[in-house]
Amino acid sequence: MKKFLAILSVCALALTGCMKEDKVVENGFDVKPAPGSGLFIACQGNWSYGNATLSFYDTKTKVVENELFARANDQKLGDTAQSMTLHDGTLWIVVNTSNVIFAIDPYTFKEKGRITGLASPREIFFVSDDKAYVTQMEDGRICIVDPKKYEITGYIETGEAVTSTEQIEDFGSYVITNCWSYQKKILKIDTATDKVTGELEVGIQPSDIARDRNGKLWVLTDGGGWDGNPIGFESPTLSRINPETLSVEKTFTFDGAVSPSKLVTDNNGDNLYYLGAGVWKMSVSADALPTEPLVGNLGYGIYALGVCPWDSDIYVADAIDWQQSGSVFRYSSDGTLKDEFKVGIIPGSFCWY
Amino acid sequence: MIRTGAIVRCSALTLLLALLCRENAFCLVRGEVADTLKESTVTGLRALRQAGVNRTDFSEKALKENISLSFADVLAYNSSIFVKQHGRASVSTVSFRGTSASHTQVLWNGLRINSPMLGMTDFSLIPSFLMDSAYLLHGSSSLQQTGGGLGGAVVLGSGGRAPEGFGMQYVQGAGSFGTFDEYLRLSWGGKRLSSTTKAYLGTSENRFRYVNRDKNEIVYDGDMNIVESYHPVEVFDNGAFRDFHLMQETEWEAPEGSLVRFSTWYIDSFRELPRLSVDYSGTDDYINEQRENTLRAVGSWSKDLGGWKTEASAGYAGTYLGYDYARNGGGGIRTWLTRSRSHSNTFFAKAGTERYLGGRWMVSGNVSMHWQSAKSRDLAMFTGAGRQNGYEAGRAEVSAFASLKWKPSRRAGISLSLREDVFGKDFSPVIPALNADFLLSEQWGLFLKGSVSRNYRFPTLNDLYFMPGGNPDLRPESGVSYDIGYSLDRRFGSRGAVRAEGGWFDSYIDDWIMWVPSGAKKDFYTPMNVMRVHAYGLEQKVSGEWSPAGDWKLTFNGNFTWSPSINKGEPRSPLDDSVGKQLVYIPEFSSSFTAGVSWRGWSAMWKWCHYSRRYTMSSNEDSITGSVPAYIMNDLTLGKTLDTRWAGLSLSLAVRNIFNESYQSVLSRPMPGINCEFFIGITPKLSGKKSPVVSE
Repeated sequence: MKKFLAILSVCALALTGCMKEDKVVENGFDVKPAPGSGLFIACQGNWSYGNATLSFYDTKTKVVENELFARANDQKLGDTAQSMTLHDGTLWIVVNTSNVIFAIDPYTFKEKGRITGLASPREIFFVSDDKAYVTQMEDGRICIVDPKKYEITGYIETGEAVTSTEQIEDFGSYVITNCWSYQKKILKIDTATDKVTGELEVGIQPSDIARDRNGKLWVLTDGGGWDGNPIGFESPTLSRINPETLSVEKTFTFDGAVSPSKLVTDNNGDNLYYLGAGVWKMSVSADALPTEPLVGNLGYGIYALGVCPWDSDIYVADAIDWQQSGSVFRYSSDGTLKDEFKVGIIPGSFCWY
Repeated sequence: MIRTGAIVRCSALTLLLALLCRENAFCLVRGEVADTLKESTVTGLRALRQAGVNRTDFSEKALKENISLSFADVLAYNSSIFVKQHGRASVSTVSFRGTSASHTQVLWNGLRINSPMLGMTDFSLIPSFLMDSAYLLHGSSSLQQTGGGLGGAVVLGSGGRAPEGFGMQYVQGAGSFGTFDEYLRLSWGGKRLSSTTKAYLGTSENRFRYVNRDKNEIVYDGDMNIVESYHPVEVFDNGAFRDFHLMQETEWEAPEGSLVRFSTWYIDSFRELPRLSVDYSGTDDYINEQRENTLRAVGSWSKDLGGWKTEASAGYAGTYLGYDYARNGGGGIRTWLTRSRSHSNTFFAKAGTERYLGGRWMVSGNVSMHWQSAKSRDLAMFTGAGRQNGYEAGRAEVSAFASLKWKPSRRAGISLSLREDVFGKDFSPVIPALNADFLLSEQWGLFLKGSVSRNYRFPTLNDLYFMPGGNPDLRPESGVSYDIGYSLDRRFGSRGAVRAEGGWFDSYIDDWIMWVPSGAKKDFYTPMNVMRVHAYGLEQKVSGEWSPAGDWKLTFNGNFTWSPSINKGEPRSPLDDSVGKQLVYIPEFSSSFTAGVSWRGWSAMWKWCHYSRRYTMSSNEDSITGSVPAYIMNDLTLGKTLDTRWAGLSLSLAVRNIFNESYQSVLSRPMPGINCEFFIGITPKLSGKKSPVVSE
């Protein structure tokens, strides 16, 4: 047993050594991302300017570095960086208007590959190491891609009425996606067959979805956003859905004063957070919408929201005037401001590493 | 369709070349040199009408250098106005004295041609060859013509009396990227009636190659590891265009002295909208194109009524704009994401008069009315099956203007003007303008001059009513500006002349309107009064000509502007770094220079322009995409005119971007490298008279 443990220790040391040796390679930047060290911020940039950028913030040292993708790869990230997903040691950056998804090494920020042939991609979700789904804004079908070969392998047909899909939440053998732009539905998709197995109307323009600790799906609608929207205009709602039966269990309706967006949960799925002229926090077991924001009086430019998976710190992005480097505010879970830092234009999504 | 047309035009070009060669061999009359167009000049003592006015005239040579030039090209090389080009033959707007595109008012034969929906004018859709006169009114001087020109005004004119008898001119051009241009002018001049018809057709595949430094091409090995990357040479695709213009001018001089003019201008334009340099979609995956049909018509009557020079005019401008964007929605089925259709109409009427009183005073006044309406909708199923997404709105705009000009002495001139604008139910305060000048040196034609004024620009129909985002609560932008400077006009016998003008301008614009993201998801834009802007700087222009010996003639024209345009508004948050910074896409320095030499029908013109870097971030940061780099552009035109017994002939070669500079005017919008176009023109002597040959 001792011999076995000794061999195991040597192997472990060797492996660790190898891994460290990998990371010893200087990346040429002030930030040295390692698992658990910080977060990536995808800054959308202005639509049609092609000025999207990537930043990294070290949560311990509070060092931030910007334009990482362009500096590491001698090429631009593109137009409208929409979302990011970390999978198996690779950061996948979805660049919406550029119709591309870049795979990069999260330490060197170097490109590892790219997926093209997409129609305004919104989010990439990994079903397995060999299969991922990509939702799209300008094609109702969901792309099935092979992330190892960086190629599209098929499509999930969603029906004629579905013109786009947005986010994906994982429920094991199936996933649920929301159909936001000029639509009202969520779709249930079997990940084994890549078929839509159910759908549910949840209100006008379901903009965000999130899964709580009880395995329930929460859906936030924006109500159409503007009076005259052809799909309709109503008060935004927050609904709890039973994903198994695709039935609505609860619906909370917002009054006209709040325009909610960016629904997320904390790491345990105990609380919901959303933006609306501030940061609002609500227990998943609450019977009513909160009446006071956790953090109030935030500026007109607040745009993105994230909750740190390891310390539940809350990160809020402020695009300020939408034409300059945006700011990110870091709050503790009780709403106390801990730090603020500047990133790129229109910080739109966070991805913890 | 474009390609077939190109082949037909290529054959026509060959035929004309053959004819031309024959004429060169057998019919060239030695020693007869064709007339070239005379440049317009500023002469002697300034007319009282121009007291204190800051105006830049474009020579006819600049307007008619070649048929392929748009007015955006003319502005780029003959003024220091910044021309923001979204690509070759793509939307081109201007920034005049540090203001935005909608702050420049554009008039054609008295009719305001700014889009009533957008407020701006696309100068790429104005072929300069169709215009017979053009000038700029800087800053407050624009109030002499129209309100709302916080930066200034561009005044275009076409028409005028055609030469007696029948006249004709045909010019054809063929150039790089499958570009073909054709121009035909037919005219007839009688004793009192004259008519001119002009037609222009420009088409291009517009597929040029460029090194895309915004992207890397990557090469994988068998294990899908990247083993090589490089900036690819890409083809600028989906940029084809076809622009057709038809202009008809009729003039009648009545026996009792009235002058009646009718001008109509029809535009049929089709343009593909090119992809960004950072777009990775396939070239066959989508449709992205725009169609425009515009009809403009103006009729005017003028007569001297007992010393009152009186003019009345009426007109119409109607535009249909269709924009289509579609993607392959799978299985070859096209998904229409946008099928935008908009119609705008403007009815216009104006009456005015002016009179000199005893040689020292002049009074003038006019009232104009524009009725503007717009209907905009999106037919795409994407935005909701069967439901239409858009707006329909209209308003009356009335402007009254009165001016009193006084010459207290031989050397001084003062002008006081008042303008009142009414847009719908909103009245602007009375807008005063005071202009003055003083002759310091008669020999040098040296004037000191200055002006001070207020100005207002009302929101456009899109600003107020666009769905989604229109904001009916917008306030008009208001400005106060002054400028002070000099002008000089010195002739050196018959051999040369030099003209110069320069000065300082300074303006504050309050309630600057910007479209900013709105809605919970910030998924649409809405206009808001967000800024106070201080735009100031220096303008300098100098031009001249010199005939050193014989038939040699040298000309030059230089322009320079330093125009800080600073956000002086309140910060939006404590972290807002935009206050005190230069506005986005407005260069601090811009300049242009042209130099020409001509000898016995041969001519060469070198054109140069420079724009300093344009920030793309309101915080003016030195980041990779925080600005578009400065660039210098050089063009060269060589020409030869020939005068034969039966026609005037012309040949010219225009080489653009002669140093093959890699540049962008707007971020992620590639521009072409070196390219050229060859033109031949013929002006038959239909009435047996010697015809002037226009170099093209």
